[in-house]
Amino acid sequence: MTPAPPAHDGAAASPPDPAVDHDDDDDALSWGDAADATHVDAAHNPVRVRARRESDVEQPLGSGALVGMGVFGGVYLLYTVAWLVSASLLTITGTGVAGIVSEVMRVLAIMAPAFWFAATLWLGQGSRNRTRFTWLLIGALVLIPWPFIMTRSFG
Amino acid sequence: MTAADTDRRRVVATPGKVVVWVVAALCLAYVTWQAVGNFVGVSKSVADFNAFVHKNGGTGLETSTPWVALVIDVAIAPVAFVAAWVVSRRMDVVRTVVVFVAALCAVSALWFTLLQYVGSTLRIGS
Repeated sequence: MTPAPPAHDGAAASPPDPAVDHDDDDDALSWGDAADATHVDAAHNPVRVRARRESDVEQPLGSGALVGMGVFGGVYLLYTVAWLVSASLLTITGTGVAGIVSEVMRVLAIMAPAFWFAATLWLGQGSRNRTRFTWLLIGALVLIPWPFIMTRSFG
Repeated sequence: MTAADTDRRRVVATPGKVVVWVVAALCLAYVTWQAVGNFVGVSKSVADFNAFVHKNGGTGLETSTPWVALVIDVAIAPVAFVAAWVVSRRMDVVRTVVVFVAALCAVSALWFTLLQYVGSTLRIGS
């Protein structure tokens, strides 16, 4: 495995520190020559790890995110209307359980865009904007009202 | 890895969530069963129709089976179940219900899309 490059903290690499005892057991964990001027001693060059930013649930949306939400909201509203029109007119043949399931699926298809939008906003409350917009984009692609488009375009 | 990281990665399986998973699995299994029925029924209808027109010299009337749409139709529900399970595996029961209802909504929308597509592209006896 290739060792990770040492972190540079704006200063030159530190000289070897005689106070740090390198016994034979540590040889496998070090590389380079300690007498080398470019030798980097990890004990004096700690890798700084940037803490992951915690998302602030109470933080209001930025103007760009608000506009994006508005655009997606409008798209999902149009989808809902399109699914309402097209799914209501679809003829489904089925009796018994199949007929009941078909009717339930018709209702689910009509409410799909509105439900997806609301669910994304609710479930993504503590998430980053990028995550929320990704799920809204997935929904906008999955829930395209093709029956409406096909019947209005080619029907 | 800390104990907190391990806890965050662990799948939480409460009795309520197991019930949600079972109910969703039954619903989506029924949808898959219907899709398999469509797959067999449509492909057989097309094959019978093509054999009939071929026997009667109407080769130009033969039509092709919409295999892609039929295969997607069968795959929708299992894929949706797996996706919903992955998304909700560390959520509480209420959020799990919301995720699976959203998955059922998406499956329904795609189901009607494919139904409309197959119905509009298939020309048998017309």
